[in-house]
Amino acid sequence: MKKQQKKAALMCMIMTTAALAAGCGTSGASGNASSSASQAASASAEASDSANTSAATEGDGGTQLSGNLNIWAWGADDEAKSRDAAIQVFIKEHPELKVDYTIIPTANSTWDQKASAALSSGSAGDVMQMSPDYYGMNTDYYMDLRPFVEKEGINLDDVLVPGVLDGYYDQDGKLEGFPLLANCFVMAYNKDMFDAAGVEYPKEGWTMDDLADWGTKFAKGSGADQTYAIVKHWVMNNIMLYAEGGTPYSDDLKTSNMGSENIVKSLELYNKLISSGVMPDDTAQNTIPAETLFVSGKAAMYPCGGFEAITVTRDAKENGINIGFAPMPCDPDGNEINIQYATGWAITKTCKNPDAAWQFLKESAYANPDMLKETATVGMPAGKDVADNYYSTLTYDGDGLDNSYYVEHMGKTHLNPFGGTLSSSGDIWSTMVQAVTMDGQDPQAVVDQYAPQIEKEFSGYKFSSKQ
Amino acid sequence: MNKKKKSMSAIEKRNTRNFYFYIFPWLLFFIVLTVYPMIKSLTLSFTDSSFDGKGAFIGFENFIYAFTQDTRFFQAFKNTICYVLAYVPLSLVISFLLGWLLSRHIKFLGLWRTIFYLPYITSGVAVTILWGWIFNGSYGLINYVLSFFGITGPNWLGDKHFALACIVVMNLWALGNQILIMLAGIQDIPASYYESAQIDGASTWKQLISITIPLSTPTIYFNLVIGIINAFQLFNQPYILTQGGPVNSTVTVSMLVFQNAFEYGKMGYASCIAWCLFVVIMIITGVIQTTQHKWVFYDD
Amino acid sequence: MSTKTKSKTAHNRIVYTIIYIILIFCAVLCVFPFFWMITTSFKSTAEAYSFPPTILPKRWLFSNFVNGLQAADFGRFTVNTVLLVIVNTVATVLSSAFVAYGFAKFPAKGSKFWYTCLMATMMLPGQVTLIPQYLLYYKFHMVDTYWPLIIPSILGGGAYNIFLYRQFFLSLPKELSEAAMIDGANSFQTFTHVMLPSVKPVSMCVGVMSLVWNWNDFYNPLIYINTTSKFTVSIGLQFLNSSMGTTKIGQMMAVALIMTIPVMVIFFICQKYFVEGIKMSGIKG
Repeated sequence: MKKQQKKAALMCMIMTTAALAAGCGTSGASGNASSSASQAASASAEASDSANTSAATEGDGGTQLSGNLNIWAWGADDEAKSRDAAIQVFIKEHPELKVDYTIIPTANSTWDQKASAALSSGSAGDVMQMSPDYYGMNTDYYMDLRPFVEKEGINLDDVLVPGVLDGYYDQDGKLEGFPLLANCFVMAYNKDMFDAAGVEYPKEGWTMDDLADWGTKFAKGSGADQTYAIVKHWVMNNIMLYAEGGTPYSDDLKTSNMGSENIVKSLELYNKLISSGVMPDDTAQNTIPAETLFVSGKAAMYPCGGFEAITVTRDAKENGINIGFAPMPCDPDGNEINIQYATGWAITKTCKNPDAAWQFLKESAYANPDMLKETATVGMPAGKDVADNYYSTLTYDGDGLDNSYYVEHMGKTHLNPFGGTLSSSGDIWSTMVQAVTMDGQDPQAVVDQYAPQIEKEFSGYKFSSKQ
Repeated sequence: MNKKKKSMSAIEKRNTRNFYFYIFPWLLFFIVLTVYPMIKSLTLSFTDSSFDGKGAFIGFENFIYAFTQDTRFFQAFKNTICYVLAYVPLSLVISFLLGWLLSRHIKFLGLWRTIFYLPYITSGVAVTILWGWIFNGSYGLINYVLSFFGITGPNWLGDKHFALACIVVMNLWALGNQILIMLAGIQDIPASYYESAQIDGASTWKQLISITIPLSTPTIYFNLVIGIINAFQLFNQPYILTQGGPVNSTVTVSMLVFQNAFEYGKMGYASCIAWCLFVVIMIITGVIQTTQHKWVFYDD
Repeated sequence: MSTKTKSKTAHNRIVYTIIYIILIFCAVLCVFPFFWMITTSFKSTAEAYSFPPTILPKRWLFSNFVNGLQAADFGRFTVNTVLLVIVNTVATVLSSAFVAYGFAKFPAKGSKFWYTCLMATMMLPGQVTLIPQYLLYYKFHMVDTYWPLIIPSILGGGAYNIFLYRQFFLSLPKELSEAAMIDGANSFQTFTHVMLPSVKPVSMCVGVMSLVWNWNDFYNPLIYINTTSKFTVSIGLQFLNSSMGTTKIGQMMAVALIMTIPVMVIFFICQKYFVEGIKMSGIKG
């Protein structure tokens, strides 16, 4: 009996010590953090108010920075490394600040969940990464950055690449975020495959309609030897939106144009490309990376984003593939179809240290060349000087690509059309594409069926709750 | 008579006291960290909240929209139910059979168990990506193997008739848990039952039918209920591999919840769909539970 | 007599041959993707997707392991993960058995109601309760600590495990606990001395499942942990999964492989305890 009691007691002990050990192990490290977080939360409203006033009253002479700054970024692989390196530069140059930062992997929308939870509870970082096509836009979470810009007294057109800031203004003119980098696409092609097929290299002004003709010369073989003229990169659905001169919606985001004749034509063209083997279908994109098809010589063209140019050109060289570069295709009116993906930073309203946060945004965007150079590995930095004089001089393996292409073409781009809140319409568009290209449905019937659904989505979007 | 009644209530009292003593840890968790979030999500489902959780009360509008206008809502329920109907029975049969085979005094039992458990350990994002390659229409392994037999395989995940079936196969592959539980259940059957059956000269088959299966019904019941609950919440593989395509043929209810909540920023509507799913699962498990006394055998 | 035993052994031999054939077939299916993971971890991205597939890499790229492990601070992440897994596994086994014992053996007023609640908690998709739950943990000042990852294990260990234990407690013969009661043991002693040992195989199941689950859990650490130095291995793995479509498959498989091996070894070692558990379980003969 005594022995039994002993055993029972021992078990209880194990149970509690296990629990305690767990608690101690973590609370030792976290106790401070969480208590300071709570203080910060209670003080934050005050802090942000006073910061705004101080931003207004102080001149733009040397503001003394101090205190903590908490930054949340996203990214995986090269993107994560680039972000890490840029923040490290900032930390080194600001020993007076205590900077904490975290980089969250992006895959499978995990950032969206983490950020949603953190923002709605007010526990997010002082600075959050945010894209102009992201649904962080048009919310109440972020500070209006216009007072900071005014206080800075600088003409942003002088320091930023044209066009990179526009996307961050919401419908009321509030400046929700500040740019970090932007990317668009170049058409990389496999010279050997073009030579073997006896097809001229694509030249400026080529169209997707042309491709439907000459592209069939690349559509050969089956199974093991199957080759295509162009990969089905994930950007393709967006490019095809504009391929026949259409636009997905009006500029004021009020009305959908997805029921238009141009969209029907786009779908017809899309179907032609896929059914004739010029391009693989949608599943190939999910199960084998498009990049692999291109760098292993199975597809002759690849729309290569600025963020992946290093990887793609290096892999192509490794596999002995000679590549050249051409501008992206044009629509029937001769306008280049290029899509821009951009990202930047925003300051949360719960931010405890807005001055330091703004310093970080400013340096990331244009004021700190070293930070911009770290950013340049994964895209065009927003700052004009570094973009023109450093980024655009970076060259790649292959015939004649340097980043000046990306800088020059950035002004001709459409911002990712179905990002953020609009992604519900984007998903319907993907379904339309699949219905035509994989299920053999009639393009006109598909548009008749799905366009009203997109219209309904558009009528439901709350772009500005204040209006 | 009076005395007996008194002692009954004493037992009842003791049972009640013991019951709450033992379930207390869970009860605490349930009341604080489950009930509140559930009530919160229920109230959200009657609002037009965006992803910041703020929104106006709109009555049953979300539910009306789901049932009368959202075509993907029905498609998602249809797909999910198809998946449940295919996956759950197959998983029960396969895991029971393998569990039973493993209980048959096999050599290197530890090795076998590890092998069958391996898929469960490795089933993460990495393996899901591998499966994508296996099912690829042009360059995938399955069609490569089929080509040896002169068969041109379909474009598995790209064909709306096969895509969901592929996901069933993928999940049947990772049955390690169920097999292990079946095995534990079968091994828990006291040897005395078999000994007396052997004395009576019952064949292996007969022992399986009249001893192993009936006495494993609590375990089978467990796997059935859990299988149904989990299968109704299918999310990962279709989300990673097909994003619900082609043409919504693999879109599931959980995926719809996720997309509305975190991609479209429609928290209110997402909660509404989640509660519809919750009610459906509740009804089905409720039905199973009320019929369990007809076929589940407890030794008491 | 002798012919009868002879035919019986012949019959047995056929039965066992069939059993082994089925098992080997299933084993090949189970092992293949794992095998493929191993070989892919040594391949270049192009070769990983080459067609026809190569069984073994043409060129063995050990660099996948080196580069893959440099994607994140895996040393630190491993320590974090191991600590978390140990605490969670022990806590889950003990607390879920404890709660399940209450559900299985004490018919009380309201027990049916609470049991229904228990089952119901498994049925609501976690995605909608995520934010309210997060809000609570935030109010308890537990965000960016391991508490949100440990509390569910301490407090019941999850409905699934409770349910599993309950099923097994229910199927235990009544005499078992009655005998203990007659010996004068109280309910807690019956639990620790009679009940827990009798369900040892189940405890192994629950322990291993909780181990694997916690080891692979990516979602909860990601949501609740903000500080990079507190991340776990599974988050580290995601740093190799680029959302831009240029995932380095070889590196990803290499890290996934390294992540899998410890769990596999632990599982294999646990085998003998399974056997022991079975020997001890139930009433013999």
